[in-house]
Amino acid sequence: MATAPQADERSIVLAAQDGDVDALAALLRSLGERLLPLASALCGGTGEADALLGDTLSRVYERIGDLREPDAITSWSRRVMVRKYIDQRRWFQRRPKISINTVEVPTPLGTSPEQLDLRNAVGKLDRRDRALLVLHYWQRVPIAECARELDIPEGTAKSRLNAALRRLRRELEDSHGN
Amino acid sequence: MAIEDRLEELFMNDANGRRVASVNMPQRPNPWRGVAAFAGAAAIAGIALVAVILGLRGGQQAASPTATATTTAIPSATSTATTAPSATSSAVPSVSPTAFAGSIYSSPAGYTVSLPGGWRRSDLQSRMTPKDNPDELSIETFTTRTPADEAAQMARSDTGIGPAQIYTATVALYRNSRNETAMAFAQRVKGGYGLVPLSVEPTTVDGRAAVKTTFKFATDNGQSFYTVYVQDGDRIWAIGYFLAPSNLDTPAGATEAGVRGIVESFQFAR
Repeated sequence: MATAPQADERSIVLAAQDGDVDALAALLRSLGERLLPLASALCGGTGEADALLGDTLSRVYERIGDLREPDAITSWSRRVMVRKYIDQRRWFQRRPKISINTVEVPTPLGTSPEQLDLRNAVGKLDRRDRALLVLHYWQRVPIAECARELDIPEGTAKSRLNAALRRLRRELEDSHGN
Repeated sequence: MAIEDRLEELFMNDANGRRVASVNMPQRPNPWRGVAAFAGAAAIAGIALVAVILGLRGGQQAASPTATATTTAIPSATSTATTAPSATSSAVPSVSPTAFAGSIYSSPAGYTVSLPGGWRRSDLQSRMTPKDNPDELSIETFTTRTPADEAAQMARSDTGIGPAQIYTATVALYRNSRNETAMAFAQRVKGGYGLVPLSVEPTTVDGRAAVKTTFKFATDNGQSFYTVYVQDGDRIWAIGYFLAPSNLDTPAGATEAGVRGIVESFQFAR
Protein backbone atom coordinates (compact mmCIF):
# COMPACT_ATOMS: atom_id res chain seq x y z
CA MET A 1 0.00 0.00 0.00
CA ALA A 2 1.34 3.46 -0.84
CA THR A 3 2.32 5.30 2.29
CA ALA A 4 3.60 8.74 3.13
CA PRO A 5 7.23 9.38 2.17
CA GLN A 6 9.79 8.81 4.87
CA ALA A 7 11.78 11.67 6.31
CA ASP A 8 14.78 11.19 4.06
CA GLU A 9 12.74 10.64 0.92
CA ARG A 10 12.41 14.38 0.51
CA SER A 11 16.17 14.66 0.15
CA ILE A 12 16.19 11.75 -2.30
CA VAL A 13 13.51 13.44 -4.41
CA LEU A 14 15.43 16.72 -4.33
CA ALA A 15 18.64 14.94 -5.34
CA ALA A 16 16.83 13.15 -8.17
CA GLN A 17 15.46 16.47 -9.36
CA ASP A 18 19.03 17.80 -9.37
CA GLY A 19 20.09 15.02 -11.73
CA ASP A 20 21.53 12.54 -9.25
CA VAL A 21 21.14 9.26 -11.14
CA ASP A 22 21.66 7.08 -8.06
CA ALA A 23 18.98 8.99 -6.16
CA LEU A 24 16.58 8.68 -9.08
CA ALA A 25 17.19 4.93 -9.33
CA ALA A 26 16.63 4.54 -5.58
CA LEU A 27 13.47 6.62 -5.75
CA LEU A 28 12.05 4.60 -8.66
CA ARG A 29 12.84 1.35 -6.89
CA SER A 30 11.17 2.57 -3.71
CA LEU A 31 8.10 3.83 -5.56
CA GLY A 32 7.95 0.61 -7.54
CA GLU A 33 7.82 -1.46 -4.38
CA ARG A 34 5.11 0.73 -2.88
CA LEU A 35 2.99 1.08 -6.02
CA LEU A 36 3.06 -2.51 -7.30
CA PRO A 37 0.38 -3.61 -4.80
CA LEU A 38 -1.89 -0.82 -6.03
CA ALA A 39 -1.19 -1.73 -9.66
CA SER A 40 -1.94 -5.39 -8.87
CA ALA A 41 -5.17 -4.53 -7.10
CA LEU A 42 -6.28 -2.30 -9.96
CA CYS A 43 -5.42 -4.91 -12.58
CA GLY A 44 -7.01 -7.80 -10.74
CA GLY A 45 -3.76 -9.53 -9.87
CA THR A 46 -2.78 -9.95 -13.51
CA GLY A 47 0.57 -9.31 -15.20
CA GLU A 48 -0.88 -6.11 -16.66
CA ALA A 49 0.18 -4.57 -13.38
CA ASP A 50 3.80 -4.73 -14.58
CA ALA A 51 3.00 -2.65 -17.64
CA LEU A 52 0.94 -0.17 -15.63
CA LEU A 53 3.70 0.23 -13.06
CA GLY A 54 6.36 0.52 -15.76
CA ASP A 55 4.47 3.28 -17.50
CA THR A 56 3.76 5.08 -14.23
CA LEU A 57 7.43 5.03 -13.26
CA SER A 58 8.32 6.17 -16.77
CA ARG A 59 6.15 9.21 -16.18
CA VAL A 60 7.86 9.87 -12.85
CA TYR A 61 11.23 9.48 -14.57
CA GLU A 62 10.27 11.96 -17.27
CA ARG A 63 8.55 14.51 -15.04
CA ILE A 64 10.38 14.35 -11.73
CA GLY A 65 11.74 17.83 -12.41
CA ASP A 66 8.21 19.25 -12.60
CA LEU A 67 7.19 18.11 -9.12
CA ARG A 68 6.99 21.27 -7.01
CA GLU A 69 6.46 19.65 -3.61
CA PRO A 70 8.83 16.71 -2.97
CA ASP A 71 6.70 15.48 -0.06
CA ALA A 72 3.87 14.84 -2.52
CA ILE A 73 5.85 12.25 -4.49
CA THR A 74 3.76 9.30 -3.32
CA SER A 75 0.34 10.86 -3.83
CA TRP A 76 1.45 12.34 -7.14
CA SER A 77 2.72 9.02 -8.50
CA ARG A 78 -0.39 7.24 -7.19
CA ARG A 79 -2.57 9.75 -9.03
CA VAL A 80 -0.50 9.18 -12.19
CA MET A 81 -1.03 5.44 -11.86
CA VAL A 82 -4.77 5.63 -11.27
CA ARG A 83 -5.27 7.94 -14.23
CA LYS A 84 -3.15 5.74 -16.47
CA TYR A 85 -5.15 2.72 -15.35
CA ILE A 86 -8.41 4.44 -16.24
CA ASP A 87 -7.05 5.59 -19.58
CA GLN A 88 -5.87 2.09 -20.40
CA ARG A 89 -5.75 2.47 -24.15
CA ARG A 90 -3.19 5.22 -23.94
CA TRP A 91 -0.77 3.56 -21.52
CA PHE A 92 -0.94 0.13 -23.03
CA GLN A 93 0.08 1.41 -26.46
CA ARG A 94 3.11 3.25 -25.14
CA ARG A 95 6.48 1.67 -24.78
CA PRO A 96 7.61 2.46 -21.25
CA LYS A 97 11.12 3.70 -20.60
CA ILE A 98 11.23 1.95 -17.24
CA SER A 99 10.99 -1.82 -17.28
CA ILE A 100 9.88 -3.80 -14.27
CA ASN A 101 10.66 -7.36 -13.38
CA THR A 102 8.40 -8.91 -10.81
CA VAL A 103 8.22 -12.28 -9.15
CA GLU A 104 5.19 -14.10 -7.95
CA VAL A 105 4.60 -14.33 -4.22
CA PRO A 106 2.62 -17.41 -3.26
CA THR A 107 -0.71 -16.30 -1.86
CA PRO A 108 -4.12 -17.91 -1.68
CA LEU A 109 -5.35 -16.59 -5.00
CA GLY A 110 -8.98 -16.74 -4.08
CA THR A 111 -10.40 -19.64 -6.00
CA SER A 112 -13.47 -20.23 -3.86
CA PRO A 113 -16.69 -19.93 -5.87
CA GLU A 114 -17.68 -16.84 -3.87
CA GLN A 115 -14.39 -15.10 -4.56
CA LEU A 116 -14.48 -16.04 -8.24
CA ASP A 117 -18.02 -14.66 -8.47
CA LEU A 118 -16.95 -11.41 -6.83
CA ARG A 119 -13.86 -11.20 -9.05
CA ASN A 120 -15.99 -11.71 -12.15
CA ALA A 121 -18.48 -9.10 -10.98
CA VAL A 122 -15.73 -6.56 -10.26
CA GLY A 123 -14.22 -7.39 -13.65
CA LYS A 124 -17.39 -6.17 -15.33
CA LEU A 125 -17.19 -2.74 -13.73
CA ASP A 126 -15.99 0.37 -15.50
CA ARG A 127 -12.30 1.03 -14.78
CA ARG A 128 -13.12 4.28 -13.03
CA ASP A 129 -15.49 2.44 -10.70
CA ARG A 130 -12.98 -0.27 -9.97
CA ALA A 131 -10.33 2.36 -9.19
CA LEU A 132 -12.79 4.04 -6.84
CA LEU A 133 -13.44 0.76 -5.02
CA VAL A 134 -9.72 -0.02 -4.72
CA LEU A 135 -8.85 3.43 -3.41
CA HIS A 136 -11.74 3.69 -0.97
CA TYR A 137 -12.22 0.16 0.34
CA TRP A 138 -8.65 -1.11 0.22
CA GLN A 139 -6.40 1.92 0.47
CA ARG A 140 -8.90 3.69 2.79
CA VAL A 141 -8.61 6.90 0.81
CA PRO A 142 -11.36 9.36 1.90
CA ILE A 143 -14.04 9.89 -0.72
CA ALA A 144 -13.10 13.57 -1.23
CA GLU A 145 -9.51 12.58 -2.02
CA CYS A 146 -10.72 9.76 -4.29
CA ALA A 147 -12.71 12.36 -6.18
CA ARG A 148 -9.63 14.55 -6.61
CA GLU A 149 -7.53 11.61 -7.80
CA LEU A 150 -10.17 10.62 -10.33
CA ASP A 151 -10.76 14.24 -11.33
CA ILE A 152 -14.50 14.08 -10.65
CA PRO A 153 -16.75 16.04 -8.22
CA GLU A 154 -17.10 14.56 -4.74
CA GLY A 155 -20.84 14.05 -5.19
CA THR A 156 -20.20 12.13 -8.39
CA ALA A 157 -17.66 9.94 -6.60
CA LYS A 158 -20.23 9.11 -3.89
CA SER A 159 -22.96 8.28 -6.36
CA ARG A 160 -20.61 6.19 -8.50
CA LEU A 161 -19.45 4.28 -5.45
CA ASN A 162 -23.02 3.49 -4.42
CA ALA A 163 -23.99 2.55 -7.96
CA ALA A 164 -20.97 0.24 -8.24
CA LEU A 165 -21.89 -1.50 -4.98
CA ARG A 166 -25.50 -1.91 -6.12
CA ARG A 167 -24.32 -3.40 -9.40
CA LEU A 168 -21.97 -5.80 -7.62
CA ARG A 169 -24.75 -6.97 -5.31
CA ARG A 170 -27.05 -7.49 -8.28
CA GLU A 171 -24.38 -9.44 -10.18
CA LEU A 172 -23.71 -11.64 -7.17
CA GLU A 173 -27.41 -12.30 -6.65
CA ASP A 174 -27.71 -13.27 -10.33
CA SER A 175 -24.74 -15.60 -10.14
CA HIS A 176 -26.10 -17.25 -7.02
CA GLY A 177 -29.47 -17.62 -8.66
CA ASN A 178 -27.99 -19.49 -11.63
CA MET B 1 -19.41 -10.83 5.36
CA ALA B 2 -20.35 -7.40 4.01
CA ILE B 3 -19.50 -6.74 0.39
CA GLU B 4 -17.17 -3.90 1.40
CA ASP B 5 -15.13 -6.35 3.51
CA ARG B 6 -15.11 -8.92 0.74
CA LEU B 7 -13.83 -6.26 -1.68
CA GLU B 8 -11.04 -5.35 0.71
CA GLU B 9 -10.09 -9.02 0.96
CA LEU B 10 -10.15 -9.43 -2.82
CA PHE B 11 -7.98 -6.36 -3.48
CA MET B 12 -5.60 -7.33 -0.67
CA ASN B 13 -5.22 -10.76 -2.20
CA ASP B 14 -4.50 -9.30 -5.64
CA ALA B 15 -2.13 -6.70 -4.22
CA ASN B 16 0.10 -9.16 -2.40
CA GLY B 17 0.57 -11.62 -5.23
CA ARG B 18 3.71 -10.04 -6.70
CA ARG B 19 6.79 -8.19 -5.60
CA VAL B 20 9.34 -6.10 -7.47
CA ALA B 21 12.52 -7.93 -8.42
CA SER B 22 14.12 -5.06 -10.29
CA VAL B 23 13.38 -1.64 -11.71
CA ASN B 24 15.46 -0.89 -14.78
CA MET B 25 16.13 2.70 -15.69
CA PRO B 26 17.67 3.84 -18.96
CA GLN B 27 20.62 6.16 -18.99
CA ARG B 28 19.43 9.63 -18.20
CA PRO B 29 20.70 12.35 -20.55
CA ASN B 30 23.53 14.24 -18.90
CA PRO B 31 22.48 17.84 -18.35
CA TRP B 32 25.96 18.89 -19.43
CA ARG B 33 25.46 17.21 -22.77
CA GLY B 34 23.50 20.16 -24.12
CA VAL B 35 26.04 22.61 -22.78
CA ALA B 36 28.86 20.69 -24.41
CA ALA B 37 27.03 20.46 -27.69
CA PHE B 38 26.29 24.16 -27.54
CA ALA B 39 29.92 24.92 -26.77
CA GLY B 40 31.04 22.75 -29.67
CA ALA B 41 28.62 24.43 -32.01
CA ALA B 42 29.69 27.85 -30.79
CA ALA B 43 33.32 26.92 -31.36
CA ILE B 44 32.54 25.83 -34.90
CA ALA B 45 30.58 29.00 -35.54
CA GLY B 46 33.35 31.13 -34.09
CA ILE B 47 36.04 29.46 -36.14
CA ALA B 48 33.89 29.64 -39.25
CA LEU B 49 33.27 33.34 -38.59
CA VAL B 50 37.00 33.95 -38.31
CA ALA B 51 37.49 32.02 -41.53
CA VAL B 52 34.84 34.05 -43.31
CA ILE B 53 36.43 37.26 -42.11
CA LEU B 54 39.83 36.08 -43.24
CA GLY B 55 38.33 34.99 -46.55
CA LEU B 56 36.76 38.39 -47.03
CA ARG B 57 40.17 39.85 -46.54
CA GLY B 58 41.23 37.76 -49.51
CA GLY B 59 44.08 36.03 -47.73
CA GLN B 60 45.16 32.80 -49.34
CA GLN B 61 46.00 31.44 -45.88
CA ALA B 62 42.31 31.48 -44.84
CA ALA B 63 41.49 28.27 -46.71
CA SER B 64 43.63 26.09 -44.52
CA PRO B 65 42.23 27.14 -41.09
CA THR B 66 38.65 26.72 -42.36
CA ALA B 67 39.20 23.16 -43.45
CA THR B 68 41.00 22.23 -40.28
CA ALA B 69 38.37 23.75 -38.03
CA THR B 70 35.49 21.91 -39.73
CA THR B 71 37.00 18.47 -39.69
CA THR B 72 38.20 18.59 -36.12
CA ALA B 73 35.49 20.59 -34.39
CA ILE B 74 32.53 18.41 -35.43
CA PRO B 75 33.98 15.12 -34.21
CA SER B 76 35.03 16.87 -31.07
CA ALA B 77 31.53 18.11 -30.33
CA THR B 78 30.06 14.70 -31.12
CA SER B 79 32.55 12.93 -28.98
CA THR B 80 31.81 15.14 -26.02
CA ALA B 81 28.09 14.56 -26.36
CA THR B 82 28.24 10.78 -26.55
CA THR B 83 30.87 10.11 -23.96
CA ALA B 84 29.51 12.38 -21.26
CA PRO B 85 26.58 10.14 -20.20
CA SER B 86 28.85 7.15 -19.77
CA ALA B 87 30.32 8.80 -16.71
CA THR B 88 27.04 8.17 -14.97
CA SER B 89 26.12 4.87 -16.56
CA SER B 90 27.78 2.59 -14.04
CA ALA B 91 25.08 3.19 -11.42
CA VAL B 92 22.16 1.77 -13.40
CA PRO B 93 22.52 -0.53 -16.39
CA SER B 94 20.55 0.31 -19.47
CA VAL B 95 18.17 -2.36 -20.71
CA SER B 96 15.74 -2.57 -23.55
CA PRO B 97 12.31 -1.40 -22.40
CA THR B 98 10.12 -4.47 -22.31
CA ALA B 99 7.42 -4.37 -19.69
CA PHE B 100 7.11 -8.13 -19.32
CA ALA B 101 10.74 -9.13 -19.81
CA GLY B 102 11.25 -12.45 -18.14
CA SER B 103 8.23 -12.12 -15.91
CA ILE B 104 5.94 -14.70 -14.44
CA TYR B 105 2.31 -14.08 -15.27
CA SER B 106 0.01 -15.06 -12.44
CA SER B 107 -3.56 -15.44 -13.61
CA PRO B 108 -6.62 -14.89 -11.43
CA ALA B 109 -7.92 -18.05 -13.07
CA GLY B 110 -5.43 -19.97 -10.94
CA TYR B 111 -2.23 -20.64 -12.87
CA THR B 112 1.12 -19.13 -13.77
CA VAL B 113 3.13 -19.06 -16.99
CA SER B 114 6.58 -17.66 -17.68
CA LEU B 115 6.61 -14.94 -20.32
CA PRO B 116 9.89 -14.47 -22.19
CA GLY B 117 10.98 -10.91 -22.96
CA GLY B 118 8.75 -9.30 -25.56
CA TRP B 119 5.72 -11.43 -24.75
CA ARG B 120 2.66 -9.99 -23.03
CA ARG B 121 -0.88 -10.93 -22.10
CA SER B 122 -3.27 -9.75 -24.78
CA ASP B 123 -6.08 -7.60 -23.51
CA LEU B 124 -7.96 -7.91 -26.79
CA GLN B 125 -7.94 -11.69 -26.95
CA SER B 126 -8.39 -12.44 -23.26
CA ARG B 127 -11.44 -12.43 -21.06
CA MET B 128 -12.29 -13.81 -17.67
CA THR B 129 -15.99 -14.40 -18.24
CA PRO B 130 -17.92 -16.55 -20.76
CA LYS B 131 -18.94 -14.94 -24.01
CA ASP B 132 -20.30 -16.97 -26.94
CA ASN B 133 -19.63 -20.36 -25.36
CA PRO B 134 -21.16 -20.43 -21.86
CA ASP B 135 -18.81 -23.28 -20.90
CA GLU B 136 -15.68 -21.30 -21.77
CA LEU B 137 -15.14 -19.67 -18.39
CA SER B 138 -12.00 -17.76 -19.29
CA ILE B 139 -9.36 -17.52 -21.96
CA GLU B 140 -6.08 -15.68 -21.86
CA THR B 141 -3.87 -15.16 -24.88
CA PHE B 142 -0.19 -14.28 -24.96
CA THR B 143 1.38 -12.51 -27.92
CA THR B 144 4.37 -10.48 -29.05
CA ARG B 145 2.27 -8.16 -31.19
CA THR B 146 1.70 -4.58 -30.08
CA PRO B 147 -1.92 -3.83 -29.16
CA ALA B 148 -2.28 -1.68 -32.28
CA ASP B 149 -0.91 -4.40 -34.56
CA GLU B 150 -3.03 -6.98 -32.81
CA ALA B 151 -6.18 -4.88 -33.31
CA ALA B 152 -5.35 -4.48 -36.99
CA GLN B 153 -4.81 -8.23 -37.38
CA MET B 154 -8.05 -9.01 -35.57
CA ALA B 155 -9.91 -6.95 -38.12
CA ARG B 156 -8.55 -9.33 -40.78
CA SER B 157 -9.64 -12.48 -38.97
CA ASP B 158 -12.23 -14.75 -40.45
CA THR B 159 -13.83 -17.81 -38.89
CA GLY B 160 -10.62 -19.85 -38.87
CA ILE B 161 -7.32 -19.23 -37.09
CA GLY B 162 -6.98 -15.51 -37.72
CA PRO B 163 -3.76 -13.56 -38.18
CA ALA B 164 -3.99 -12.23 -34.64
CA GLN B 165 -3.92 -15.78 -33.29
CA ILE B 166 -0.83 -17.05 -35.07
CA TYR B 167 2.15 -17.44 -32.79
CA THR B 168 0.03 -17.02 -29.68
CA ALA B 169 -0.20 -19.18 -26.60
CA THR B 170 -3.60 -19.55 -24.97
CA VAL B 171 -4.86 -20.86 -21.66
CA ALA B 172 -8.58 -21.54 -21.59
CA LEU B 173 -10.69 -22.88 -18.76
CA TYR B 174 -13.90 -24.75 -19.58
CA ARG B 175 -16.78 -25.89 -17.45
CA ASN B 176 -16.87 -29.67 -17.86
CA SER B 177 -20.61 -29.66 -18.38
CA ARG B 178 -20.60 -33.13 -19.99
CA ASN B 179 -18.52 -34.61 -17.19
CA GLU B 180 -15.95 -35.86 -19.70
CA THR B 181 -12.45 -37.14 -19.16
CA ALA B 182 -9.67 -35.05 -20.64
CA MET B 183 -9.30 -37.70 -23.34
CA ALA B 184 -12.99 -37.57 -24.24
CA PHE B 185 -12.88 -33.78 -24.24
CA ALA B 186 -9.81 -33.74 -26.50
CA GLN B 187 -11.36 -36.26 -28.89
CA ARG B 188 -14.53 -34.20 -29.16
CA VAL B 189 -12.92 -30.82 -29.86
CA LYS B 190 -9.99 -31.95 -31.97
CA GLY B 191 -11.31 -30.88 -35.37
CA GLY B 192 -12.46 -27.65 -36.93
CA TYR B 193 -11.03 -24.17 -37.28
CA GLY B 194 -8.81 -25.18 -40.19
CA LEU B 195 -6.76 -27.54 -38.03
CA VAL B 196 -6.00 -31.20 -38.64
CA PRO B 197 -5.24 -33.37 -35.59
CA LEU B 198 -2.14 -35.50 -36.05
CA SER B 199 -2.17 -37.35 -32.75
CA VAL B 200 -3.97 -37.53 -29.41
CA GLU B 201 -1.87 -39.02 -26.62
CA PRO B 202 -1.58 -39.10 -22.83
CA THR B 203 0.91 -36.76 -21.18
CA THR B 204 1.31 -34.83 -17.92
CA VAL B 205 1.02 -31.14 -17.06
CA ASP B 206 2.51 -29.92 -13.81
CA GLY B 207 2.43 -33.49 -12.54
CA ARG B 208 -1.21 -34.11 -13.44
CA ALA B 209 -2.53 -36.53 -16.03
CA ALA B 210 -3.35 -34.76 -19.29
CA VAL B 211 -3.98 -35.34 -22.97
CA LYS B 212 -1.95 -33.76 -25.75
CA THR B 213 -3.38 -33.16 -29.21
CA THR B 214 -0.89 -32.28 -31.92
CA PHE B 215 -2.21 -30.27 -34.88
CA LYS B 216 -1.16 -28.92 -38.23
CA PHE B 217 -2.89 -26.42 -40.44
CA ALA B 218 -5.22 -27.95 -42.99
CA THR B 219 -3.83 -25.69 -45.69
CA ASP B 220 -0.20 -26.80 -45.58
CA ASN B 221 2.27 -29.23 -44.06
CA GLY B 222 4.32 -26.82 -41.99
CA GLN B 223 5.38 -27.25 -38.38
CA SER B 224 3.00 -28.92 -35.99
CA PHE B 225 1.89 -27.46 -32.65
CA TYR B 226 -0.20 -28.73 -29.80
CA THR B 227 -2.77 -28.20 -27.07
CA VAL B 228 -2.89 -30.09 -23.79
CA TYR B 229 -6.10 -30.76 -21.87
CA VAL B 230 -6.20 -31.29 -18.13
CA GLN B 231 -9.22 -32.27 -16.09
CA ASP B 232 -9.46 -30.26 -12.88
CA GLY B 233 -12.53 -31.29 -10.92
CA ASP B 234 -15.55 -30.06 -12.83
CA ARG B 235 -13.38 -28.03 -15.18
CA ILE B 236 -11.07 -28.68 -18.13
CA TRP B 237 -7.98 -26.65 -18.87
CA ALA B 238 -6.85 -26.24 -22.49
CA ILE B 239 -3.29 -24.95 -22.78
CA GLY B 240 -1.87 -24.62 -26.26
CA TYR B 241 -0.26 -22.55 -28.96
CA PHE B 242 -0.49 -21.83 -32.66
CA LEU B 243 2.23 -21.36 -35.22
CA ALA B 244 1.60 -19.81 -38.65
CA PRO B 245 0.47 -21.32 -41.92
CA SER B 246 2.98 -20.72 -44.69
CA ASN B 247 1.02 -17.83 -46.19
CA LEU B 248 1.25 -15.68 -43.06
CA ASP B 249 4.31 -13.95 -41.64
CA THR B 250 5.63 -14.65 -38.17
CA PRO B 251 4.96 -11.66 -35.87
CA ALA B 252 8.03 -9.69 -34.84
CA GLY B 253 9.75 -11.19 -31.83
CA ALA B 254 7.79 -14.44 -31.93
CA THR B 255 9.55 -17.79 -32.15
CA GLU B 256 8.40 -21.36 -31.94
CA ALA B 257 10.57 -21.87 -28.87
CA GLY B 258 9.09 -18.79 -27.21
CA VAL B 259 5.44 -19.65 -27.73
CA ARG B 260 5.95 -23.32 -26.90
CA GLY B 261 7.96 -22.33 -23.83
CA ILE B 262 4.99 -20.40 -22.44
CA VAL B 263 2.82 -23.52 -22.73
CA GLU B 264 5.51 -25.69 -21.18
CA SER B 265 5.89 -23.29 -18.24
CA PHE B 266 2.24 -23.64 -17.22
CA GLN B 267 1.78 -24.41 -13.54
CA PHE B 268 -1.27 -24.51 -11.35
CA ALA B 269 -1.38 -21.86 -8.64
CA ARG B 270 -0.40 -23.43 -5.37
